Amino acid sequence: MYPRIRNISFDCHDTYTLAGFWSAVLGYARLPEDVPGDPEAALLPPDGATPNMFFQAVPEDKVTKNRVHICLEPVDRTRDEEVDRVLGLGASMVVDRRRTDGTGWAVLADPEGNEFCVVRSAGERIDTTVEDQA
Amino acid sequence: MSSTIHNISIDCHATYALAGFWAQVFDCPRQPDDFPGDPEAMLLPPGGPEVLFIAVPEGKTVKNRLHLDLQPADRTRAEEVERLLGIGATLLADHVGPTGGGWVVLADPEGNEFCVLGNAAERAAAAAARAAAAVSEPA
Repeated sequence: MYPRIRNISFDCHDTYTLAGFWSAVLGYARLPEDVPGDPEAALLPPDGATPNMFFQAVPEDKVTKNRVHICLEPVDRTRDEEVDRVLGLGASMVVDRRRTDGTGWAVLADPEGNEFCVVRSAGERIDTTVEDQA
Repeated sequence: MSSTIHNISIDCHATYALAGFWAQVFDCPRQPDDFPGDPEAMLLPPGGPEVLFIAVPEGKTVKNRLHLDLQPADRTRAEEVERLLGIGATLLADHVGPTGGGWVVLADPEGNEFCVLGNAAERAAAAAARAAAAVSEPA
C-alpha cells in the first residue's frame, strides 16, 4: 500500500472564514473545535475517504497565481448553476472559459484569492477527452 | 450535495516527467495516452482524486499556497520519506517532534512542496503521548 492524500492544505490568513467558505462549497462540516482566530482549521469529507481540507494561518500574502489548484465537479447541479452558487458564497470570477457550445470551465477565486475551477457535471460531459473533461 | 473535488491540478514545466515522479509516489500507472511533451498528464491515484499536470511557461517563484499532505499506509513516516527521497524528492524541513508527532516537508522534482505525515499507528501513538504528558503536568 502506498500513501494516500490525507489533506489538501491551504496557507491563508483567516482559517475560520476560509474554512467556512469551503465548507459551504463542498458541503463538509466544520470541526466543532475550530474557532475564529485559530491557527488551523480542518474540514472532513462526509465519505471519510476523499482528502480533508486543511487551512493553516501564515503571515505572508498570496503574491502570484497558485501553482496548485482544485477543480470542482457539481454533483446535483449544472456547471452554470454551481458557478452562480459559489459566486453567491463569496467567490470571485477570475477567467470565464465556458464556451458557447457548453464545454469549458470557469476559473474562480475563493475569498483569499486562491484559484479554483468549476468544470461540467458528469451529466454535462459527453466527450471523454482530458481537454473536454476540463 | 454541492460539488466534489474532480481533480487536483499542478502547474509545471515537464508534465510527463513530473507525472512519472508522482506515479511512483502513489504507485499508480501512467495514462496510456500521456507522452513526453504533452501539455497535460493525468494520474488516477487509488482513492483519488485525479491529479492533473498542466504545462505552463512560468517558473515556480514562491512557496506554494496549496500543498498535499500524504499519509503512509503500511510504511512508517521515516520509511516513506526515505523511499520518496530515493525517487527524486528533496528534503525541505523536518518537523517531527519528540513524541513522534509531526511531519516532514519534501519537494517534488519541480519544487512543489508536500508533507509526509505519520501513518495511522504513529499518529495514534503521538496523540496518546501528548495526552499522557498533559495528564502528568501539574495543575
